[in-house]
Amino acid sequence: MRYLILIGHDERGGKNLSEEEHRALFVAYQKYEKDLKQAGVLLGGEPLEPTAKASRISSEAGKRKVVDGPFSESKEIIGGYVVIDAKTREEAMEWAARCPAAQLGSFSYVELRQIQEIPR
Amino acid sequence: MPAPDLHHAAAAIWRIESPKLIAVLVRLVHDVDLAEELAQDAFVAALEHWARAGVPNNPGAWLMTAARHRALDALRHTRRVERKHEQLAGELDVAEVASFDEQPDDIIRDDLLRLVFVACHPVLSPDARVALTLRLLGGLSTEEIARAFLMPEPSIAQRITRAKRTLAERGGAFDLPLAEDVAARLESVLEVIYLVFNEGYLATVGGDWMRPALCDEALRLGRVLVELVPDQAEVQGLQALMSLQASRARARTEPNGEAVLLLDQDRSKWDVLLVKGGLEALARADALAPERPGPYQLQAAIAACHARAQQALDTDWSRIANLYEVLARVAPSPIVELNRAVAVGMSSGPEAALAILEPLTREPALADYPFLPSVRADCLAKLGRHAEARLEVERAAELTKNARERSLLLARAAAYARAQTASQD
Repeated sequence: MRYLILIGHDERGGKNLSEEEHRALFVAYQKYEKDLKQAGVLLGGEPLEPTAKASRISSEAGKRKVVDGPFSESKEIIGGYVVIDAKTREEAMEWAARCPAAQLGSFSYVELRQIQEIPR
Repeated sequence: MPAPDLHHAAAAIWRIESPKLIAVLVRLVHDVDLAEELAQDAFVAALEHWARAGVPNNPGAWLMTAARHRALDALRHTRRVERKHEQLAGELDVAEVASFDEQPDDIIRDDLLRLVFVACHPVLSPDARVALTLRLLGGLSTEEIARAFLMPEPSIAQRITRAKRTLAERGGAFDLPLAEDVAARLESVLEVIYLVFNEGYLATVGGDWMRPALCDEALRLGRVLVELVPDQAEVQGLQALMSLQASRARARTEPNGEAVLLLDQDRSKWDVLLVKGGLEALARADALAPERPGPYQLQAAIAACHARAQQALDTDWSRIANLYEVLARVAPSPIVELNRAVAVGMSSGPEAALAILEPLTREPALADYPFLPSVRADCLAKLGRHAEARLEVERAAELTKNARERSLLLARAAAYARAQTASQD
């Protein structure tokens, strides 16, 4: 089964990190990626650009409505994602819990979502 | 008894960590059975501790330390016994075990690779290699392996025990192969992974057309191997082949479980991510071995021809026929020849195919293979020889052990019978 690990964090929280903390975070993600790969579970994943470069598109009365980021009202944003293949929900949980965002600092977290599979 | 939450997490942690633990322990103690036992001991100790203190952020490191201590104790014990018998101390170096701390990544990588080669050692039968690989590298229990292969658990347990004994009796089984031997030793590894995949994809026994859990397991093992030895064309080739075949999984059965053959499949149901991953792996294989492609790379190239065709009609059959011709030279087999006949039939017509099939009917290896009469039936029907086609397809239905495949073949027999009646009217 495929699972999406959404990496959420407080955008301002990240800015307060020292250079050393940034480096530690970078190293932790490298190790996380290596572990996922050596276990054969990594299917994909990428960090995302800040919401300053984002847009929200919807429609209102049949007309396109675009709001460019950053979005002042939301404090927490999605900063990246990982897609994994896990045999059980518990295994996916275990991988999610090992994501640096779930381990380092209080301004970040991960959200685990199962990807809906069309029955084979 | 750990709390229910920990109990569930424990199985997941074992699946994730046991290959690494066992890999490191095998290097230290040169004994698969002992390595597994020590890893399990460390795991039991960890669970007791975590039940009180909670699961740590890095359970892998905790387990590795606990396992290392157990290895050290075991080695000291062996030393004492050996001294008592006035034997030379083995190559096991207690000081080395005691001194290493956090494992550098490349050592873990080598240890995992060693474990892959040990589990797939050519002295073991393919069945034994499959069981041992799933157990040691997949982190599957004997019960899970038995269930996956629809076999009694004691048979699998015995197979694993015997395999471990064979490895213990064989000197040098725990050495990493020399760089120049890696490609040859990999053949045996790739064979094991593809066996697991095919058992899932083709389900040679039982009532189901596919057993997806085994396909997923093989894909996972393939990804591990790609990570460990990315520079081997055939490793990429196998990953490409499995991904491209697995991409069609959803289209291979009707909602009622009936099988749908490749050319009749709804291609919009093919998994685009698996297709993309498969084509990328194939491109890497082609870049690594542009001149002399290996058998997995060639089969992946054939699968890619299907993947690239938007509709069945767009299939480049003459390219597929050419690829099979190369494959028949690299890895000659009656099955390859049979598949070549199918491709030739599509590109040059049923008579050309029947000419290739004719000598195959005398091939002992294909005597019980349902696909041969099934293909002959198809060619004969296209030539309007429905009576002969019906006999052939009925023969195929007798030969198959798969219930779903049989119903598909019998439906064709009925269709040929109708066509025969219609042409007589």
